Amino acid sequence: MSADAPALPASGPIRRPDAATQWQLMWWRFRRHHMALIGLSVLGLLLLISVFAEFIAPYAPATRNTRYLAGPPMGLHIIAADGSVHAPFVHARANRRDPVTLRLLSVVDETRQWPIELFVRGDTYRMWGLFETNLHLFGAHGGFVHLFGTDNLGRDLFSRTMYATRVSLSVGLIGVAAAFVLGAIIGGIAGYFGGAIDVFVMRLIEFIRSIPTLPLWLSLSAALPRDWTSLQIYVAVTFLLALIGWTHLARTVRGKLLALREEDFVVAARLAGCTDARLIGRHLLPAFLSYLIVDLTISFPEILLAETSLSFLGLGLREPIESWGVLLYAGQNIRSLAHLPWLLIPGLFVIVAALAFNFVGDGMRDAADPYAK
Amino acid sequence: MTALLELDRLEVHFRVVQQALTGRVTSVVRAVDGVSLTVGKGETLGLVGESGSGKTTLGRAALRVVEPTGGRVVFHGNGSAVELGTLDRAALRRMWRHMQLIFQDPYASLNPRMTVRDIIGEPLIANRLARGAELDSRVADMIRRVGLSTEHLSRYPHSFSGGQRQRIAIARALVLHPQFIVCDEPVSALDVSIQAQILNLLKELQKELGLTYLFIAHDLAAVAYASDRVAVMYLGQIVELAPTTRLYEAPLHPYSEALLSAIPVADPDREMQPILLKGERPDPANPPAGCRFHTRCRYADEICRSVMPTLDELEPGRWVACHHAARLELSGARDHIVTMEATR
Repeated sequence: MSADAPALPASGPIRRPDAATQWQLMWWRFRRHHMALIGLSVLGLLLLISVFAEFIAPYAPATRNTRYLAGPPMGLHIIAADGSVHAPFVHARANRRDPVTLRLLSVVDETRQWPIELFVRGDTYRMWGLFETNLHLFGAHGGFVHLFGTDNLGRDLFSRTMYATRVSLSVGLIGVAAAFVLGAIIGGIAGYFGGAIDVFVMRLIEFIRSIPTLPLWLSLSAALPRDWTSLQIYVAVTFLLALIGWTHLARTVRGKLLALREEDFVVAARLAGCTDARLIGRHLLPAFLSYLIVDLTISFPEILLAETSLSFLGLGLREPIESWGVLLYAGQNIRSLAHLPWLLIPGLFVIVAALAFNFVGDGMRDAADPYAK
Repeated sequence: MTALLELDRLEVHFRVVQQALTGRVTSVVRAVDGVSLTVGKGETLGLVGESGSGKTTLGRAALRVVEPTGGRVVFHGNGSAVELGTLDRAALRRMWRHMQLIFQDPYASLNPRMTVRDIIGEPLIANRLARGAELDSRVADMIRRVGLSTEHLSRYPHSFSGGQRQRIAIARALVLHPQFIVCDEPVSALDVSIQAQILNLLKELQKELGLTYLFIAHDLAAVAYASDRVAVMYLGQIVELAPTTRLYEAPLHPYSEALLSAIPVADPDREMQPILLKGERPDPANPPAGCRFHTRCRYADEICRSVMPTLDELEPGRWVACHHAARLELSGARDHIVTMEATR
């Protein structure tokens, strides 16, 4: 931390590197990793979206706008056609039929404006299942606003993406948590006891990892009963993903434990009279907790992408539960790609989220490395 | 001399299984192969030998940190003799209150996630011997004894130098007031300028607390300075055991002679003439027949190749395992002893 010494913050508590805990040192090192900080703020934003999805989305996910079917994204403007500056607004739309193909077209009417207003009343929803309200973060006065456009049925893609963020992130979180528990316990047993148990677990992991993942997921999710509700499917798919994800983690835990068992400070702790429980709780676990967290962060995009691909193939989550993958499923055919390319916008969220997790994981790995300069 | 610790034909053999395409090959590495030693109360017994000779394993087997595969370790702690091999895990943990280990690398032996207070207090807490104000006062007393101050207690190991860390490690080993300490190369990871400080600290503590040391090192200068007697180890066996000054003046075993000839002298004009041993140290999984040193010994003859010599007392207090010990005239490191005595 010597390189940091001259750059002491002008305010706030003075840094004491000598009395800093391992976690404080990690945080200081993490903060110097700019991409990781950006990744962390992106993740924070996504988390905020998934917590307040109903409030941020201007419409309910199933609400259809029959005046704007398959409509392209509506841009926000502040300069009107006559050059005057206004508060943010969207141009008004009018419907017209194409005289040749008879396709319903939406025409931009640049002379009229629908100003964006904050905290408007709209579709009614139950916030967190606690209370009923119809307050939304924003909406268009006198018309409608579809920042990401609408699909064939006229449903607002922006609103649906907000709801999907919640589902996709929660699948990832629950999947990673389940994988963590499985991996830590199975890997811990293999690493701590060693011998035949270790050999068995390692061969099992190698077997699981050698199965091509996509066909495995496909067959497992195809085995889910068709009459299950989408919520049940949602829970089942989450655990399916965890079932594969734990192997990587179990390996890390086992390897770390095997290495740590022989470390001098662990031998010293045994000599100090520590029981097994105290040895694990006080010396072994804290020593590899930081590695585990890094590993979790990096395995998060894996599960996120797995869910997206499964849903995209139509075998993961299903309507009416929407995830990023479910939304992308609608953009599968050539007609959608040709006429409604904005249906791929949820794919951007997948990419951004996966990148953000990778950057944060990178930053944490560097920060957790005690040998880093 | 009353014995504090007795090793009786101690053996530590490691089974090494190598998986190959053609099948598995099992070999047995004889890290410690039938070592009998007695460590007297209050003395410092030095243990030297090149890397891989089994010094560290012997030190750990003496504490049963590494499980011996044969022989006995008897500890004469509180007037009664206890054989470590017969103890169950809980009893062994209690026995470790009387016998401790100081590690070679002070960077690896301190848990980086604990403050110095927690590290030194750990043995007291784990053994439920002290808590609260008593714990604080015993930890504070210990840190002052090793030459640090109580303001260091709330810091983490990463903020200390190697020498300071070794002081912390010593404090942790001594906080339970053990009688016997295995010092496993306690200074070899440190700066030369710091080595003397730590050696002096160990000596002072020995005097104050009446400690007994098994002092393992490959640095013969450090061993000469620290030890009352020295045991020389080669391929898992003791080849010579003698009082320090007499070993350094006139070694009885050719291997000791070669080791002593390699001690660097702090005189740029002196030309060193170390005895360069032929060849490599044999594989401890496959030691040579007869005397284990015969492949590299310049005095070896027919009997050395076929008959393994026993460790015999040639003169009072001087034990050597060599067929020709009585007739060989071997040179020691007399100058070294003289300069060492002068600085003492």
